[in-house]
Amino acid sequence: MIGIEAIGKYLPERLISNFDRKEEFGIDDNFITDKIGIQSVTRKNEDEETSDLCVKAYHDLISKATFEPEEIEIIVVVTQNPDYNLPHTAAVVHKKIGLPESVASFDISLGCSGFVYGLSAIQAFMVANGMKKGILFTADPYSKVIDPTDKNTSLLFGDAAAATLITNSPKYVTGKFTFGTIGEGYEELICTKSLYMNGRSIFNFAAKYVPKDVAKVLDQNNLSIDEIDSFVFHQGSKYICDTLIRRLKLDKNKVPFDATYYGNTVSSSIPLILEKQMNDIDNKDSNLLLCGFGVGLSWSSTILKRTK
Amino acid sequence: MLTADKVKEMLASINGQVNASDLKNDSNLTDQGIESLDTFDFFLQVEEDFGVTVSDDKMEDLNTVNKIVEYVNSES
Repeated sequence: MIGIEAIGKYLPERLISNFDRKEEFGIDDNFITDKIGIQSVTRKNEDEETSDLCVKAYHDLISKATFEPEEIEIIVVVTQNPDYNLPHTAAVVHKKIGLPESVASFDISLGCSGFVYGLSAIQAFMVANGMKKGILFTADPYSKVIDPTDKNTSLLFGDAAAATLITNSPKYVTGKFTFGTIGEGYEELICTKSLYMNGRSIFNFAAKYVPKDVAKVLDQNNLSIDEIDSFVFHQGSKYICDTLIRRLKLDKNKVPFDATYYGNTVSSSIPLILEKQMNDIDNKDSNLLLCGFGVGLSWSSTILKRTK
Repeated sequence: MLTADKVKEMLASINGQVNASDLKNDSNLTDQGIESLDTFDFFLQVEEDFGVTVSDDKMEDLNTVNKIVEYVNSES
């Protein structure tokens, strides 16, 4: 059985404080702390590429898990802000971390649902091909495409990367997955010249569809909502998480919001929380529900079960 | 039928910080501490509970309790 053995992360040190932008955007402390819940956002250096963020997350990963680069059989990069239009960023990461020629590598073009989708894709690929070690990277630095004067996006999105080691010695294994797409809404979160987000449409999408998908993934995994120890939702904003808590009537202590000091990191938001929980020796949560949702519009959910 | 008291109760519940009794019927909601995010949530509930979908442009116009009551009741 394969699953998640360890997670490495990278959060750029450079921060932009949202408190410093109150006058620019006509917002107050309450909006920052209680509504969006994001006090600062991380920004990569201009000369850092998406692949560099992946490599830094990889370096964190190798400090947490024991393996040799020669053991890696597949890498997947989830991004919609690649280094180049072509080649795939996974090939650049492959070079920068010095992996063998035998390694399979490809990108997946997804946003906030990408980590959960990516887990299913890499695991299925590994099982189909008898592989034992692979790495799922998530790195989507929206700072490449954000208009700094756009209130809807520049206060929310932060840069980050995660490197999730998938092996046959897992600490978490996945249950059944759910997936969904509303292509009709593709223009609601889109990058043409710069990033555009219709905040109301994205809010309505999350508030309507995530609760239904939570019920669906629980049903598919024969679990009740009370059996879930932690609901790890994509960290769109505190307001989205609070709305899901209210609509699903959840104990707020079971729904982490961790993006306060780094922002919405797109496909890295879920693995950043998992990384924190895996490193917390007091954390005994055994059943986790993951749900990623956003650009597409796209969503995916699954259950993680702790094995040890 | 949507009443002014019901609108104020819903907005206060969503906002979590303003009191329903402090909201005035004819004053701009933004000036009374109701954020744009709160109105997204409010109009989603209106859509679900009253079957009235409010467009983005119309939502900008419905900036007082009384305007909301009048519009939603005329459309439902």
